[in-house]
Amino acid sequence: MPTPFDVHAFSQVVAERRGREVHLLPKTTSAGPCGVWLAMPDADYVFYEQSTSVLHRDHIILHELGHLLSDHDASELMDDDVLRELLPNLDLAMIRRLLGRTTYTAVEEQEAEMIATLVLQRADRRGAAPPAATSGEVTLVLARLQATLGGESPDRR
Amino acid sequence: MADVEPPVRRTLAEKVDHLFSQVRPTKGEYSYEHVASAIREGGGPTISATYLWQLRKGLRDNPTMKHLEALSSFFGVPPAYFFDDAMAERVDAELSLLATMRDASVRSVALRASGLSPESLVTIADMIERVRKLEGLKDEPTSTQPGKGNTEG
Repeated sequence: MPTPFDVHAFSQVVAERRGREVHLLPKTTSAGPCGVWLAMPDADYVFYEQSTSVLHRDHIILHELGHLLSDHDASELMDDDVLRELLPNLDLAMIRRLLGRTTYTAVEEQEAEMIATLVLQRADRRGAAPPAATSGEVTLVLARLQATLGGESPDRR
Repeated sequence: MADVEPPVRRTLAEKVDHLFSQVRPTKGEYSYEHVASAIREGGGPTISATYLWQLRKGLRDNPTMKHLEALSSFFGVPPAYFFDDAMAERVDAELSLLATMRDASVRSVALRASGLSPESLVTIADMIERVRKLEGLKDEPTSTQPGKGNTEG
């Protein structure tokens, strides 16, 4: 992963390690949320607002990837809060009835943690501090990931 | 897509029909008998399967408030769906997105937004459709009629 921070390379690492493709797609409209992460059965898609600064764009993408990576906190994939935000006028019980309940498996949780560790290790090797091109909030997300994982694990490469 | 057009007026029959076709189990639709029983068991008014069919066909158009409340409750929409066209439009946008999510087997959604407009729901639904196209037809759609085909919004 090169410095300065390259979000596409970052997502490639994520994809390779997870064995699931990660597609970064620019939104075709400025309407709606600036970043959306969709987890499909076999791949992940991150939509990002492209008519903004590179820094902000990277921030948006990294936020979604961070969510993807650290989402082991969620006990259900379809968080109630997200559902209420998307579908505020529909009854939650009905929504769940239609969508069916799904949960992360322990294996997927472990995978996410491993990926984040590896990525952070790589980012770390390039220099003590995050590159200057990284925005403050990007640094924050990386730090949050690191905190979530709690320390380093041995380099297995 | 619709900008600031006034909500489309729809008949009661059309709204009932829409609920049956949008809010459904994995295959097919909820039968009138199933809905009638569920309403009765839920402590709602006595309502027959035939009556539900008549409502949907527009053969009856003056149900009581309790009937409409029971019906909206079963389908998980607010009663205002039947009276307020603006609310009906919002609910329809949400039902459409829900159907898209279910048909596309979306496992999880996360997004950054502060407040979502109805327009946003369309945008998200469009994203899901783009993903479906990108993935090709790997996942065969279920044998029920596709949830999309909504041309509204």
